Amino acid sequence: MESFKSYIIIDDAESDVNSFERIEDARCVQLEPRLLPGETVIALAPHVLKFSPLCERKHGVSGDLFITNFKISFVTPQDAADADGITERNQLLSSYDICLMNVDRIYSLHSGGRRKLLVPGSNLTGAVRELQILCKDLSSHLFGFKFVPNGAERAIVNAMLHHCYPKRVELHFAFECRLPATQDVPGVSMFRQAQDWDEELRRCHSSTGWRICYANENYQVCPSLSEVIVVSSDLTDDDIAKASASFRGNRPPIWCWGHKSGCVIVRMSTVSADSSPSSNAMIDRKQENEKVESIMLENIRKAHSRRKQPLILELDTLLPPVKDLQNSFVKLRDLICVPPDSMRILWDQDDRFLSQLESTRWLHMVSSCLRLASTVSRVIMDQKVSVVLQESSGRDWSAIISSLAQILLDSHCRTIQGFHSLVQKEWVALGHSFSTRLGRWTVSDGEQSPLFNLFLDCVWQILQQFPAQFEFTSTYLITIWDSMHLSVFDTFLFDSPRDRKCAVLDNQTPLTSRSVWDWSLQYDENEQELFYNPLYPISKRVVETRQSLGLPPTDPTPAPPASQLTSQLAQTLMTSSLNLGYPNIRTRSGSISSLNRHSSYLEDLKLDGTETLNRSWMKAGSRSSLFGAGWNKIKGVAFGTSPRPSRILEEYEKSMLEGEIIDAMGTLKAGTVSTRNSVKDAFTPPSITPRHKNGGTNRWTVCDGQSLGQSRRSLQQSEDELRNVPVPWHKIDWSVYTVLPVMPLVANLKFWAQCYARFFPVFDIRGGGDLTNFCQNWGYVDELMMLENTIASLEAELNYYNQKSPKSRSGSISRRVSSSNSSIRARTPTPIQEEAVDYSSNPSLILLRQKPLSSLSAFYPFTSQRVLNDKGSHIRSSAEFDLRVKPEEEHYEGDFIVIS
Amino acid sequence: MSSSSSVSNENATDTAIKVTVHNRSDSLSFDDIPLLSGEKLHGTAKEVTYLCPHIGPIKGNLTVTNYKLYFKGTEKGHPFILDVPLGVVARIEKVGGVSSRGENSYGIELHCKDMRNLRFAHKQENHSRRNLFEKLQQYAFPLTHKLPLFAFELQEVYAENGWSVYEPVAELKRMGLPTESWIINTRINDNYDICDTYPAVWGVPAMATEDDLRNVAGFRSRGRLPVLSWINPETQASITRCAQPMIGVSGRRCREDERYVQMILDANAQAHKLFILDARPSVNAVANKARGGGYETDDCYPNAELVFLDIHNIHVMRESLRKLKEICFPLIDDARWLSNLESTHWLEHIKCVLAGAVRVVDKVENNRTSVMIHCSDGWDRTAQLTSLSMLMLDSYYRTLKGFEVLIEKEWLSFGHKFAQRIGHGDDRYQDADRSPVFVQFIDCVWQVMNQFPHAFEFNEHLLITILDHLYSNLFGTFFCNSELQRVKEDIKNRTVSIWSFINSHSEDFMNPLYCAAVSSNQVLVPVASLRHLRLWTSYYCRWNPRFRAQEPVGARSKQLLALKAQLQKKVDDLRKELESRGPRVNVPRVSSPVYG
Repeated sequence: MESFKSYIIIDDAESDVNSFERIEDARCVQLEPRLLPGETVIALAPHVLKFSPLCERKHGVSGDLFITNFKISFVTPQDAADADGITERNQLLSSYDICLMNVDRIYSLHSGGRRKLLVPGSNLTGAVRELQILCKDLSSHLFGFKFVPNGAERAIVNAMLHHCYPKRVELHFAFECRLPATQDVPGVSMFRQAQDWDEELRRCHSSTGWRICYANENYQVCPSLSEVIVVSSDLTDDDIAKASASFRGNRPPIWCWGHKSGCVIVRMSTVSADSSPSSNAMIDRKQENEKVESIMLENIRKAHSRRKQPLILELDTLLPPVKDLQNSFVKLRDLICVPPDSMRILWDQDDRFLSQLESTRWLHMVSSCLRLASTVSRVIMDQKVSVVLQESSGRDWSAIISSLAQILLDSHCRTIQGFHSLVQKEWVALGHSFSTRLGRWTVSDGEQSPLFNLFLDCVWQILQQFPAQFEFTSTYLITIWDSMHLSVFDTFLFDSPRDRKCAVLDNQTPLTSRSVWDWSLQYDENEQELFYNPLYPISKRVVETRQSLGLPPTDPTPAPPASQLTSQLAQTLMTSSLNLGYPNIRTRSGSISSLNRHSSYLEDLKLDGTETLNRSWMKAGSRSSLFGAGWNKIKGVAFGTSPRPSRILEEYEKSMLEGEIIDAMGTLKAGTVSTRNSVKDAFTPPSITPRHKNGGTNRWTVCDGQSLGQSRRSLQQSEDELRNVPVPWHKIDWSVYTVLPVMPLVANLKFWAQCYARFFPVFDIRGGGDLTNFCQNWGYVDELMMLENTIASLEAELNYYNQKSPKSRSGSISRRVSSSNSSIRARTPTPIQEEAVDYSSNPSLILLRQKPLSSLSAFYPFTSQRVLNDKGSHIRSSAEFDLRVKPEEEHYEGDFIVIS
Repeated sequence: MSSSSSVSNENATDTAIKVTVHNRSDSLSFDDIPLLSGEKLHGTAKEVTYLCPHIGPIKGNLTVTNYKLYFKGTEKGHPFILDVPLGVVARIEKVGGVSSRGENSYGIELHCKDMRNLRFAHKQENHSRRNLFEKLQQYAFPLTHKLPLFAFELQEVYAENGWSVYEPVAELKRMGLPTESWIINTRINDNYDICDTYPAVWGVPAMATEDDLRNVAGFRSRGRLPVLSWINPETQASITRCAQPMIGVSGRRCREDERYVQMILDANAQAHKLFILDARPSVNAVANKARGGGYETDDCYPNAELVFLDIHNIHVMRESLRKLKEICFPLIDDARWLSNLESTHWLEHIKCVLAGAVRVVDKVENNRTSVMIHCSDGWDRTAQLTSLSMLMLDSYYRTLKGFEVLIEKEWLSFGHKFAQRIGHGDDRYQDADRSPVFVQFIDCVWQVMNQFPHAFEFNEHLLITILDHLYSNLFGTFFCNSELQRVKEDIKNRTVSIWSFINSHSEDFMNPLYCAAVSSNQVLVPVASLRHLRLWTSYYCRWNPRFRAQEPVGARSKQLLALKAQLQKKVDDLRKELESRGPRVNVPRVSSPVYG
């Protein structure tokens, strides 16, 4: 790419013009942007300079700038020359393109470092010499108009100001794009039809107690929900329609996910009520609404397999307002995406990076979400209690917490298809207002909040902590991050399913539906390989083998929180229901004894002035009315005043931690099925250590409540069988989780440099980074799979010989195990005879051996050392992907701190 | 001997290495205390409570040997075990006195060098504290009490001999010496006459006479003249290390030194300039003039370009690590974690050192220029810079063996004052000469490793083990301040080398992700930005269970390799079995589902 790095020194106008003209001469073709069907050019300005970042506007690229109804396209002569040869990595955008929907702010830069925000929709009158475009994906672009023929720059800037900020969603390119509609992606539920919900219900073991409800047909009950919803089976459609009026946005409590044990996650908005009821009628109304809320909660209780009371998390108080999130995001953007022009200032500021990052509070937001999600998962796994996520709108934080909790709890959500379905369900079908939150039209300015971005960051953090548990890679998450702002797709375009449906059914400009999940629109197959985590097939294989042999998962952190808060919660839940007249309830004094250990912190909670468990429990005790505030809600301290979301949760977490340690010393030592030594220990029966001296349930929860006795029996039974399994997948020391024990502290989190710092080549780890891990693991896994296949075929061959005295059993098992091959993405076949080569001695051979890998080698050319690039993440920009020859001195000098 | 890892749970096996236990017949011995050969029990106290900052108080018995402190909980079943080499103890304090009331307020607190403090509460009525305190003092600080360090008593035998890992001449030959311009001089410092903190074998410019060398040594601080650290055999760009020139306020000059520097420049035909990197901040370099030191000036060294790297001195680093311990142990303030971390400046210092090394790499690799590195005395920051840049430039140093050579060469033989910086067996915890310079180097290696996971043959566990035995006094490697002292003390014959232990268990220290084919010839250029640098929590915060990695990467990849070996064996076995049945006739191949 050196050739198009034309060095243009702005200060020296004379040589400038010369070098520029030289480029001009080299131009043999008229520059044109690549256009998609339906895309038209609106304005263009020739001879525009695009500056490289951090070069003090000293060098960059020269080319023509186009505005189309889809993108801002910057085309260089080099691009034009390459047009036939190299296909773009992203089939929708070229390397210098910016989708109009991605544009966040446009500034005009003036001398002396001043910059002026250009108001959307306004008409520019003065001259613009340099233009800065900040994007929603956190990239920034700098253009210079010095050589642009008079007036052309004004025209193009005005075009930008008008077309980047449409007043209605219908003005986005998705409505004009003539690309074909996407087909349904196999395996991905779109949650538009009842069938999808039905399958999900069955997948989640929630068919009893919950049912499909059609009350919202034609969105007559609630405009922000999908037409099909899942509600408690005791409620009629009529009940739902009536009850929904009592909730904000008419959103009745909605089932989202269920666990085998009968626990579910329910999302619910708060009851609609004015903050200061003035008239009696309104007070009545409020009471009426609360009564409806209680009835709904009561139905959730009844839907639980053991009729346990749900735990209600009031997200409004546990998490900050969405506005704060937006502020945090803006600060983050200012920190990472608009670094100073000069490299020197950047490095000087780099020392202050950590405290600046802290002051954005972004990681604190991530931490809060992970903490809550972890609580939800623990409550469901350990206490077998349903969780209700209550939030005023019911469409923002609850989407994050619910989907994160599902990622922790449900391995299906950690696959690519499962993740697509999860986003489709929690975000799209249940009406996260993408259009408003992502600022798709000008009016929504004040309501912007990057909840989905936060969600992606959270998922990335979990992925970092459990790198083998996800089918996808961080590259995949970054690709979603970028695709959020592509106006070809409608997935992230609308506020609600209703808006989308209206657009599709519109008579004049019907929307052709294109889903972002059809990656083939953007990337060819080889590039999609980057989405797949090479370690996942191993995890999957281990799980499948263990399951087929009836072995429990090797959960390294068995059942933490037995004690303290959760048991307390459970007790409280049960006790409070005493007053509601349910049978089988312990007495109050019984639960108090269990509180003794933590009585002091409960005192603390009172001092905090928050509504404590204690108090609500007391309240429940003193209340005579059948319904009322008898439900346990966990609230936090207002987020702004204290960085800690809730003492309760903190203590809870602590108890989790203590549980872990004692377990580590106790159970693991006892030779249970632990992660380590599992080869040896898997065959010794796990011993059960009592959780509490004073009795209590087992600390050890094996695989969704499967009892130890059972698993032990099955262990013994299967022992014979094990010897015959060709590939001992179940024996390897490989963590298989029932629930991911995520570590949510800010100190455990990382800065997502791979996503946030990718627009600055100085932060590239040349020849290193995560991608080398990826490649190496890929090599190993591929080899393993190949060996496995060889074994299968050799054994088959042996069987053929042995037909007289068949070892049919071993054969059948081998086939069963290897049949999972096909489900693990069939790789390009390799002739089995090939394995004589000793790959271990030359790993580059491994990488080049198979087709997917050799195609990958275009990304990370292992064969040519020193030129690797860390940025598989940023597939879109081809420039960054290209083999970099080791930079010359002049460039390179810039990368260093100049100390004088 | 778990490498001073505390909680003996399965998770900690990552940092724990098992060593066979020989001596169980000691008279004082309790059956359940694992002893190394040569280790003896010296005291024990019953009914002691270990106040764990994470779990809470644990009752048990505390035993002191001449090597370690061993605490075992009395809890039935699977007791809590704490096994700490006494070498890590920096200071022992009594907590509470006769008048102390309240549970657990009377006891002993141990401040450790490895980022933790241990508190034990005694029962006053047992009168166990005094005896224990004395024993701890004696065996934690044997030198103060005229006792030998434990390494001199260790009788363990290892399969490998770590003392033979580093052969100075062989190492210089590996880099292509002697050449036209560089020779190996084994004679001049044979008796450590010219420089008592340098090794006996030097690589020096061929042009320089022995008189030259003597004169140059006279002009450099502590006689530490420029000597070759590394040379690129292809480009002849070299890295030389030395101490500051003794210029002083009066601006002394030394013709021989100037000529000598010119020789180093001339040895590299491709360059017309020599880069001199002074690791210090320029202010400090100027201040050093008052003490007779200084830096190379333009007029005396016209063909040299001097750059200051702004790395602070040992005192700043010590203070920084002290602050880091404060925020890491026992509890962390999560809400202000990042800004607290920043206020320790630890990562900033790491970044500075790394950036300096990257600069060296840039000059040597990209400009093919020779580089001369010094600070004040050339044994702290200089060692960091040379060893790090060599690690990045030469893939040999990224193998297990090469890394051992690197430490032996750049740190031990060139006189990093380990005894002073660490204070083995010495109770003067406030000694101003102590500093975590070597820890910082290992941290930098970890950072590079983090950015280039495939480029190192060894793993993180090796780094942690080296740091653990830097303090443990189990091995003699890090004793003394210079090669001369080590020869005098006969360390090689009287103690075991840490490399003996490591090379005997090398499979534990291998990085399964290592890709030799890619890594060889690769020059690593890490990004020295706080966007990429991370706190090494698995070392600094390893006592905190909240930082225990759920899925250790190394373990996982190791599993893959082990599995691969198993499968390969299975394939071979099957092949053999098939072949034993005679020639392969046309067997209809059962298509596997993949190819089906």
